[in-house]
Amino acid sequence: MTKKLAIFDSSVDTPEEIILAADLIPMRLFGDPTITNENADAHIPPNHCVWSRNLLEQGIQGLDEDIVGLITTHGCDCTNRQFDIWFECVNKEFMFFLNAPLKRDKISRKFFIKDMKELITQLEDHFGIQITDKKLNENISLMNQIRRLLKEISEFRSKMVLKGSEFHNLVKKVQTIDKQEALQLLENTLNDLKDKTPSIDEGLKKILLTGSIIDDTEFIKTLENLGFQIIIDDLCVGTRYFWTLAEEDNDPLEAIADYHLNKPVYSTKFPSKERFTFIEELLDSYQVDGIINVAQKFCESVLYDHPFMNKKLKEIGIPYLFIEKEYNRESYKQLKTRFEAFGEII
Amino acid sequence: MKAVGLDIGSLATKLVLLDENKKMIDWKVNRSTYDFKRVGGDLFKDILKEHNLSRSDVFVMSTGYGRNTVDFANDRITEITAHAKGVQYFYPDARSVIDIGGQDSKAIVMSSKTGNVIDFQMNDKCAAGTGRFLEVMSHALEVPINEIGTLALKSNSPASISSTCTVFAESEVISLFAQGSSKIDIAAGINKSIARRVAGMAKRIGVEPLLVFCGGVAKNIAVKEYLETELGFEIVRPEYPQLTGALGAALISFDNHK
Repeated sequence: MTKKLAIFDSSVDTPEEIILAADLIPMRLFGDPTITNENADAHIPPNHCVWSRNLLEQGIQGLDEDIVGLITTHGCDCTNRQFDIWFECVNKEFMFFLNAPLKRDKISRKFFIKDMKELITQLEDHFGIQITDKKLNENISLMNQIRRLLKEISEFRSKMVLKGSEFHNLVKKVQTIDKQEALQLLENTLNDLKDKTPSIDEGLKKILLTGSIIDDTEFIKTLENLGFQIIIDDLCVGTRYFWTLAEEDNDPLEAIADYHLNKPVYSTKFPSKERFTFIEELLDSYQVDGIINVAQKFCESVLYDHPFMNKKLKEIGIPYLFIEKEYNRESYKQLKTRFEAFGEII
Repeated sequence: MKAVGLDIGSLATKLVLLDENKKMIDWKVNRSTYDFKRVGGDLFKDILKEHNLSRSDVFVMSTGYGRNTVDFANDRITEITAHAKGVQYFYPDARSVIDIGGQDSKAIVMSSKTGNVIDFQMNDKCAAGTGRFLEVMSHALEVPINEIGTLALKSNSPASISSTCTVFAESEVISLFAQGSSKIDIAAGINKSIARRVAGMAKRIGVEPLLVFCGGVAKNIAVKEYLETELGFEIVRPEYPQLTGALGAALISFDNHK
């Protein structure tokens, strides 16, 4: 199994189990903050989500040859509407738009299951394969194993054994490589961690990190260098990828739909109140010194959530920093004063 | 021991000397130029010489954009914390700060109980709403920067500057000239534009009275008045609005060496 299906998803609502059952490797696309977006800027105005423009730039420049297709999954409106541009400029042999619902009610569940069925039909027709319930159930089980391991490993951040950046890098890797390889990697990592004692400076400020998609591990390292340790997060390259499990041995598509519709809400979906409930749960479970909310420049969904978050967190009385970040590493230096001032407040 | 606070901003470097009783006994201001380290070092040498002091007689705390270039400082602090501390020297009951410097502007809210910073907001991505905007506009109007505020207050009908971008605002000023607007009305429009932008940022974090307006732009009387209109309450301005960062840094250095 070497062929990959790329995933363009600003949330993490793509049912990887279906891609795995099609004998393809699901590979989430991530941005590259070291490139500029000249080609993408010819298609999309520069005041649109810089992360999605960065992905388009990579697409136009050419994705790896082993990527045979692309699924764009409904996340935020800005990324959704790029499907047409990708179709025109990055045309791969298989392209599908998965309409993961914005709402989480019964009708949305039915709708989601129908669209996943359509995805299965198109994958079967295109690749000449058969996606059986047995295969789907096997991969639900595999994904659950990965989620369990990630959740267990995640705890070593608050135990001050594992750096936030190391964990971030691990989650990112799991979202791009063969899942059996990922399973092995996680098992080995967990075994190594169990033998380690806390070595991270206890004096670091313990942070809950939330916000837009944060996929540059260097950004987490920047925070670490300024005296912070991310002990928990509310990110799609983080807890939202593994916090809950799918039901096993039930109707597989119903189980997958229920998994996605019942896991922590992102800023791209609503109601925001539910997203905040998850953050409150994390605050109850983890002793954090403060919360950092990072909006990728022009990420409207995080910008919409910020006033509500700000109000709620002020009521709770926990230090809260909201920043808007460019998608290049030079800009991290300019944010230094804000982070240092936040450290001083804490 | 005495204390020196050194605030190296993008446009101006400010130094304050406090005596053992935390009384401000001297201060200096110079252009930061491109060589922060040299300008800060020169001001420090001068003040030591003028007061017959040696390096070991003073604590030094640096702050501001160039704080990390000061290799002779005992410690460093961000300008956010420094300004909050500095304004409370003049106004112990201060709850909020608006600081408009050369290349950034910031709003700060302090706790009524502790006086510590509890929230802040910065604009350092865009020249609009900063001292640089005023400099560019003064040049366009051919009015010295220290006169643009007084000139603005003579206006009964401030011009509307709609652009939030310094470059486009300059074009807008030229268009206003072409349409026959007076220099006074345009000056008022420019000052209002800064006040509107900064007040918007300040309202987002819930600034409250007593609000202290500091930074170099606080010397501009028109921006102060327009800020009061935008915020809906009176604000105060210390005698030396440019020095609050350096002063706060010096005060914090005392606290750190208790």
